[in-house]
Amino acid sequence: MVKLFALSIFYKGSAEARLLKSTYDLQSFSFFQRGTVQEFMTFASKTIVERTQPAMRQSVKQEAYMCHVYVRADNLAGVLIADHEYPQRVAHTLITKILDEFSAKISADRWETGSDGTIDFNTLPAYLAKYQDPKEADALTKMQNDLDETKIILKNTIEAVLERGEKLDDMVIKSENLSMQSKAFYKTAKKTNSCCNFS
Amino acid sequence: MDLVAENENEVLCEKIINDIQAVFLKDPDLSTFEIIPTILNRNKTPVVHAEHHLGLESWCVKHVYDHAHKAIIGYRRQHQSRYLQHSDVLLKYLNVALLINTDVATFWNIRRQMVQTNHLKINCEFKFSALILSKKPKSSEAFAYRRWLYSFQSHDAIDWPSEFGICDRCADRSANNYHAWTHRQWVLQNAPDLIRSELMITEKFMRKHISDYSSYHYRQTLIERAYELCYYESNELEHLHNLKDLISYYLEDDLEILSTADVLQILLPGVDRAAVGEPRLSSFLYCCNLAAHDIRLCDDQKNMYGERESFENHRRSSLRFIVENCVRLLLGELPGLYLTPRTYGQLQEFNAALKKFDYATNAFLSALKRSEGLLGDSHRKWCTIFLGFNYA
Repeated sequence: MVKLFALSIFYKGSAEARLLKSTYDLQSFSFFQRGTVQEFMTFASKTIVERTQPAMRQSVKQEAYMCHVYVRADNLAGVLIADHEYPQRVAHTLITKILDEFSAKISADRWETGSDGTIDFNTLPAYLAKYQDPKEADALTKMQNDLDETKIILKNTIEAVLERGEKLDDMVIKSENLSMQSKAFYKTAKKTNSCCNFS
Repeated sequence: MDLVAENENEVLCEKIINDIQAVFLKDPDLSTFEIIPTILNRNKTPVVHAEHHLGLESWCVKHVYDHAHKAIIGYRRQHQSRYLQHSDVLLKYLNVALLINTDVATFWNIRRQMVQTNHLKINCEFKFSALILSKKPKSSEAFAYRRWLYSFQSHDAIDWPSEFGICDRCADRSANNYHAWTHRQWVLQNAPDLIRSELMITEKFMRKHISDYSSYHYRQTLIERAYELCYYESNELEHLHNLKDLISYYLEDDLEILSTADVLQILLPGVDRAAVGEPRLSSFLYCCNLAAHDIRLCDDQKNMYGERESFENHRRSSLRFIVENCVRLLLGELPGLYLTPRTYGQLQEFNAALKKFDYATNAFLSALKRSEGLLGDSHRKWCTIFLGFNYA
């Protein structure tokens, strides 16, 4: 499936990454899962931004999903969660474009303290919708061939991004941003090793 | 002690089942059902209902299903053939049991009996089976049940587009859902006037689910069906861009202006137009243009996403459609001229005719043969077996 699920902008502070703006398209998930899925996508995005060096691009595969991350040299970061079939080049072009636009509109001194409510930048949903079809979007971006695909670091699981001694299970349990329901979901899903099929 | 616990358990299950039934009665427009993964019983009702969505917490599922299953079988044993008279009570157990475990033929058959004895309304049953499909999009029992229900309805009164919509949702939510696409083929048989919209929808679907061959396969049967029904759109016949591009590509010639008559002349030189008939020739051109469009689509997708089995297979299938139907019209003497071979005998007869056909007599087909032969050994082998090309 060629699909985008989440697009978010972070500021990578010295202690932790700060979510500045985000948007989601979770219609393909069943109704009662959407909240949980959104929490996990935000959790994964934040986790990966915190473990990506400035001026570095990564694409991290986790099951059927691909998490594309770009942290600029000035610590502004963009994360796009897509299906693994979504073309990587288009994904990174979109992140670059969004970050350029964001930094042009919102001055750098507001990044460190900003949050979803205080920052006025509302073009993310439109971009997420438009780029669902990479073909349409690609025509516009083909000109910008400055993106060197060989510089994108590929990782096969989220675990591969984590630092030595870190464990995803522990991080999920300790996280303050995940609700009880989401943690339960994580455990059950892990146990049955499938999303939520009882049958 | 155990007896008390068991009794308590039963009371609790009964309560949960009643809660679910209450939601059914309160909200006739339920759109989805799902089981919500939870670990602990938090001492409140596990039945969640919001915005026409129904959820059941996973901790209770096993017990509730056990209870419902026992109740249904118990009723059948106890009341023998008269158990349907208790349909009101039976129904709440049936609903829950099927929601949790969708593919139990026995339960579906009890519902069938209830429909036949007027204990259940057909309209409600359409809604119920759609709800089941929201939980398990690959439930072949639910699709079969819908087809059975439609046999009681007058053909004109059926809303076929909405049935296509259900197939859409099921295929979208679950990859390689051949159950949904097979059901869709059945709908298409009944509603052939929707071919045009089907052509657009399938292309959109293939562009999104690039590796899901089930949709590609449906598209192949769709184009074959269109040809079978002699379908064409006259405004398309003036252009035939894709087919013209394909011809220029194989003949390695920039044929600038190609009229429709020229295209026919290249594909079917010397064919007796009067004997075949104009509508058939128009449909031939229209469908070959679709196949040429798909060949290009597969090539484009390959450039965008890299190699995929689905692109390769669909490209081959489209190629085969063009070659086979050219040969059929050129030979003009095969049984079931415009139908895809249905029996094994027909297929063998057809393959033998393809093998015997002398491709050298046709400039277009021999150019196609040469060009495809350059695409690697395995593709050559495929051409030899399936198109009867003889690369000596």
